[in-house]
Formats: sequence, structure tokens, C-alpha cells
Amino acid sequence: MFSLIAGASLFVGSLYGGAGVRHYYKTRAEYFEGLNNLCNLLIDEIVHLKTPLFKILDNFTYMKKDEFSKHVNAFAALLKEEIIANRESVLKILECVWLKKEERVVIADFLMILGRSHSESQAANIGHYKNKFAEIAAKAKEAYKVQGGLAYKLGILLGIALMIVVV
Amino acid sequence: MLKNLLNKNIYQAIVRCGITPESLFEVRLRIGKPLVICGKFGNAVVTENGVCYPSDRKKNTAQPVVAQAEDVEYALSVASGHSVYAVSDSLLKGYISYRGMRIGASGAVVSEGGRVSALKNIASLNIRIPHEVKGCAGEVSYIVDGGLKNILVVSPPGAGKTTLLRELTRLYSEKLYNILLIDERNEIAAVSDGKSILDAGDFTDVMAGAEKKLVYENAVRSMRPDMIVMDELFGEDDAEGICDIARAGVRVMASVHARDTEALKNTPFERMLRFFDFFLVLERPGGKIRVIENKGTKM
Repeated sequence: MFSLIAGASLFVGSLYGGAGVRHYYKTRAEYFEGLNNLCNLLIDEIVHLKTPLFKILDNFTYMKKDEFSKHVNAFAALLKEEIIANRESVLKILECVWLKKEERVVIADFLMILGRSHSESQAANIGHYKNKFAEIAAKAKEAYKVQGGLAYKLGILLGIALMIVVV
Repeated sequence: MLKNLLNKNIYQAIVRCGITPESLFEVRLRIGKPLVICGKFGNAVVTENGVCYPSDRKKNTAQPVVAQAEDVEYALSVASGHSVYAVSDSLLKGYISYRGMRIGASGAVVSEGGRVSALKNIASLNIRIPHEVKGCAGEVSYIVDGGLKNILVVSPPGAGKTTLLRELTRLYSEKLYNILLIDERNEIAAVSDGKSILDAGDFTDVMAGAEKKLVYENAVRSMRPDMIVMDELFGEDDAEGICDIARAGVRVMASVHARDTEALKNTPFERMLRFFDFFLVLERPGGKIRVIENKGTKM
């Protein structure tokens, strides 16, 4: 009986580990897809409609609970408080396990240019960052499919193997 | 209002001088240059130890407070709601409005195909603080008591034209006339979120932020005003608009930048002068209002 419980626990633990790794890749893929979507929305709203920045950010995050939307909301709150966001403060709100340090720097730089110049300049700058993010998003999506899928399957296989050994 | 607009260090430097920022007429921020304020005392430099007037500049050794790029950017960010692109059309005209304050801006002009397309690298701001002085039109209130008249307020910049115009608008409005205020620079009523911050009267309809020539025709038809009020006429289009309004039988009250009425002769404004019943000439803030009644086709 004890070995059965221990085997089941190891299986669940291993499965959970695999799912955790997959979740990491999934979050990264969704995060950069979100960034890409925000860039598209910003270009449309800034160039064609000149919608105020806070309204664009509010509309973008409305009813969303993903990690990127949380960062966007935190950035908007920071901007309202500091007016000119301090780079260190922006980097701090971007601190998380699924972003690499150099990615955080690029995202912070991107956020800090928003709203600070005329529309043509904003469109050019956002377009530049959009290309960067699209590249990272493609890689993150691929990594989610390949490495995330692999980690999940390995987790299941390892769990089964451990269960067989223990039971 | 000014507290929100100015970076903390700039606001505190002014307060340290014992001056209520809201009592000022202007605050000038120039990147890398001393902070200048303008009030009833004229222009003065803000230093670490207080205000330094032009006459004291050689004697005064106190370090002036110098405006930095982030101070200019801070004010721009607040005034534009952190969306400089949203006010770029207004910036091209040289100013943006924030809660009734007119913020003049200068920087590098970007042009494309002979057309000015943007103003970038903004290096200096002139923040003009509006003042509501109820009673400032007391000495000319008999004109209002005499009923609707065509009135032109004439003065050089900074002499209190807008303040006088606002007060006259309020006085006419109190007499239950329907007043249409075309507040192109949003300085007279200072509309923010649909509400007037400054009192231009309860019976005054405000068209804020719109170019005068875009509003004249439709407003005369749709709002049926007894009087149209507009600030700072500029150029032939505005002069033509005044003639059209007066011909349409609607009374008009406006202001124009000029030393006196003589300076308006041989300009695009000359043609419209015959429509005005009164010219109110201001020479300096708080100074006496010179009233010229137009009794014929010639002044």
C-alpha cells in the first residue's frame, strides 16, 4: 500500500514538474505575443486616432489577467505616479522568472518611449520594437511547442518510470 | 493646477521664494537656463535664496534655479496626459492647453515638402496662468448695461485682455443673453472634461479648442447666439469671420493684439473695425481701460 502511494506521489510530482516547465515556456510565448499585439494596437491608435496613452493601455488590459497585462497595468500605475517613469522602477515591475535580464531591458526601453514624441516618431519607434518582439515571440512560441511539449512528455514518462520502479 | 504641472523641484523653488505659484502670470522653463517667473512685479529669476529682480542681477550672487530637460518633459507629459502625439497639432500652433493654462512651446520644427509637420526637441515652455478677476470690468460695465454691443478689446500681450473678455462675457451672460464663446485656446472658460473651470457665465455656451473659422457658420445657425465672443483674432480669416458675423446680425465681442486702434489700420483688421461700437484699450495689467466709442464709419 505504501509503495503504491509513494509511486503515485512520484508520478504526480514528476507530472507537475513537466507541466511547470511547459507553463514557463507557455507564459513566455503568451507574453511576447501580448507585446506584439500591444505594438499593433499602439501603432493603430496613436497614428490614426491619437488616442491618449492611458486609454490605449486600459483598453488593452480590459478583462485580461495574463502576466503581460499585469505588467502593463503596473506600468500605467507607475506612470501616473511618477509622470516620467524612472528606468529602475520600470525594470523592477518587469522582474519575473520568465523574462531574461536583457529582455527586461528591451521591454523597459520600449515602455519608456511611449507617449513621449509626435505620432510619426512613435510609429517608427514602436515599429522598431515590434520587429524585435516578433522575433523573440517566434522563438518563444517554437520553444513552447518543442521544449515545453518535450518537458511535459518527459515528466509523464519519468513519472511512469518512477512509479514502476517503486511499485 | 500649477502644482500638478510643475516638477516638484521647480514648484518648491517657487514656493521657497514666498510666492504663491497660482498668483503668477507666467512661469518660463528653458532647458539649461534660469527659471523665470512673471507676476505683478514683472519678470524675476528664481534663485536658491529667493527671487532676483532684473535690477538686482549684478549684485545678487545666489545661484539661479536652472530648468532641466526633465522639467520641461514633466510639464509636457502632464499637460498632454502622457501622450505628446495627441497634442502635436496644437504644438504645431505653438501651444497646448492644460486646465485653462496656455503652455507655449518652442523647439525644432520638422518640415516635409514645405509643410511643417511636427515640433520636436521642445526646449522651452512658457506656462501662462489664467486669472479670474471678477469686477475688473467695473469701469466699463455701463457698456454692458446699455445692452448688446460690438466690442473689441485691444492690447499688447500680457495686459489682461483675456481676463477682461471673460469678465465682460460673464456680465452679459448674467443679463440672460445667450452667449456663444469660441474658446480656441481654451483660456477663457478653461473647459476640462466638459466643465468650465473659470466662470464665463451661466448662459454661455462654450466651443472649446476649435478653430474660429470652423465654428462661425454652424454656430450662428445652430446655437442662435445673441453674441459671439472670441479671443485673440489673428489674420485675414478671423477678420473676415467678424465681418460675416456682424453682417448676420449677431453681436460680437473679441480681442486682438495691438498697441492701440491706430496700429490696426492698414492691416487685415481695418475692414472689420467699422462694425465695432466700442474699443477697449488696455496698456498694462490692472491699468485703466481706455474706452473709444466708434460713432461713425471712421474712428
